[in-house]
Amino acid sequence: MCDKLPFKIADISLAEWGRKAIDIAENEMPGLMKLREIYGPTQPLKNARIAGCLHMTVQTAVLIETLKALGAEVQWSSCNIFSTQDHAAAAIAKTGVPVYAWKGETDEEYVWCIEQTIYFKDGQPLNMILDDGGDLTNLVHQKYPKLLEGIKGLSEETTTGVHNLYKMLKKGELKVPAINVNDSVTKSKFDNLYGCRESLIDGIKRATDVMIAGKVAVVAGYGDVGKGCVQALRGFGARVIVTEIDPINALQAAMEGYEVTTMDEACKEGNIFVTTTGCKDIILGRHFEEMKDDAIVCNIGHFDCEIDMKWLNENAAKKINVKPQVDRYLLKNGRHVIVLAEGRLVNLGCAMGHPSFVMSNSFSNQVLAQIELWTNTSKYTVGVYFLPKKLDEEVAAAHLDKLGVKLTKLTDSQAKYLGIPCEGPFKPDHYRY
Amino acid sequence: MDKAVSLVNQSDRGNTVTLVETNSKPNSLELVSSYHTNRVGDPMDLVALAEHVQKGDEFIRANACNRLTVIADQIRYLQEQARKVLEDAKRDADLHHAACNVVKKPGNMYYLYTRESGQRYFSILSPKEWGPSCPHEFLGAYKLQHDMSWTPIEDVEKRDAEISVIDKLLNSQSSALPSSTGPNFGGLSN
Repeated sequence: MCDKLPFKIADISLAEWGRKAIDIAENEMPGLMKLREIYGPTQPLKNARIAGCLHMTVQTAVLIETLKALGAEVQWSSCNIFSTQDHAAAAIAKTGVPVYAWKGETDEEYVWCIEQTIYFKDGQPLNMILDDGGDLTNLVHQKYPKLLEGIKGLSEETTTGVHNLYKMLKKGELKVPAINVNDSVTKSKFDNLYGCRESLIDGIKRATDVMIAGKVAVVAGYGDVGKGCVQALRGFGARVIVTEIDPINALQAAMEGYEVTTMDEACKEGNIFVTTTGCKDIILGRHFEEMKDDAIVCNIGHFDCEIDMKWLNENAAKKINVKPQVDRYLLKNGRHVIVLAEGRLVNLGCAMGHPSFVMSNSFSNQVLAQIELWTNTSKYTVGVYFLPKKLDEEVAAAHLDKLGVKLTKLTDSQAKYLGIPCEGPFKPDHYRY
Repeated sequence: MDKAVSLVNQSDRGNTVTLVETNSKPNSLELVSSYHTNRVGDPMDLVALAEHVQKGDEFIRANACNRLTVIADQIRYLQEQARKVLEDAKRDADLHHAACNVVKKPGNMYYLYTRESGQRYFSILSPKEWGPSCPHEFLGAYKLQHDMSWTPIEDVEKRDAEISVIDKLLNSQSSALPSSTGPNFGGLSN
């Protein structure tokens, strides 16, 4: 640790471009900007040394600068070897934040980058963790267990990381109080539904330029992601068929007016197939064989196990790569199937992922989780917590001004009638929105 | 009659003295005795002649040799250059095909490592930056030039100096470029 690098990124000359992108993103991330306005003066994160491990993008840059504006010292690495936007990293590095991230790291470099964020200048170790996926959390627990005592808390962004936290908790390995940001209402209910509602079509259009109006779209799964996809496809004029395993979701879909049937049936009718289930083996060989010519197949659910790519690669007569992330398979029956992003997440592979506005929701949760763990440390023993509902509501409230929303206030007598405080929280914890 | 004299140890035709042919009836005058008229009185005269011829030969040989040596040197130099060009091209192509996750940008330094599997890859991290945790064997550092060639780290300073000289020349050339159509070497002579 003797001569620690001030930062390591691909190209510092991209800083100016990155700054322009950050300026625009700030405008689209009103939640974070609002938190700067509210908490900036009181500096609630003063003396916090936050090591962050989360996609080093333009949106994350706004998060980093928000944490700094609230008094924290911050060091950053990316949680994916390919997701760093080099211009965003450059702009952040230029402001003096130690950031270690570039697009196209090797796995070893990835771990090196994370390790650079453990000790701050003057050899001070981190005392807060902001994680996405659990790699930083695991690294500290496994390689720097001595530092765990000094860490007041960690906030985790995503499903994978939250699974990991619960697993660690169960085994007694977790040594730090953790807040599960993923399951805040303003996170999962928003980026799954509204994020995918925009980025699914973006991905399909960029990849194929296909006309959606008039087509038959088959959406597997009617959860938050499925609901967003279905709405978007219908909005463009597609006739949508839904497949479901859960009778509640199936009924929801039916009562929204969608045909609900099985993939075995739907595969004969669809022109566009979208999997959103989070489960495996959704579209299989026998389905491909029944599909119409040039059916488009993509996944926006969970990793890459929803579509049986193995069957396609082994059984197709021919595979033609049209352009990156777009493959056209010729089946033995003479028909074609077009697969996007090799069955991986189409909104990441073929489009730009979530827009800034929806990330502002997630990241505002991160900021409030960090403040909560840093300032109310005594409230949290080792365990995995949700963000208190009041703060969930605060995240939503922080976005309203920008959209010109006028919120109605409860009168005292109304509040008394409902038996809730005037200022919230307005809903019980079990409320489903 | 043998009118040629050979110097000892000079076997080539070039080392014999060839005298002008005799004529027993020059200008229609019958010589009384050709032998008498043509006999070489002092054998050393012939030796002197032969020596003179030989000296000429040697000078010419030396001269040709000098000129040929220059050409030979040039050939050797060109061959060497050609070999170097081919080697460099092969090395550059090799380096371009080494595994790499980043989009390489001209002007930057890249560090070549070998994984346990034998795969060679480029990293933007130097062995120094890695520190003791460096996981793979370091093979060398190369700067990617704007013509997509690679310069090994030990030659980078030299190459940079060359490039900056050329840059200066180019700059002064273009600024001093006259309106005349003739070539301008103004920038080169300084």
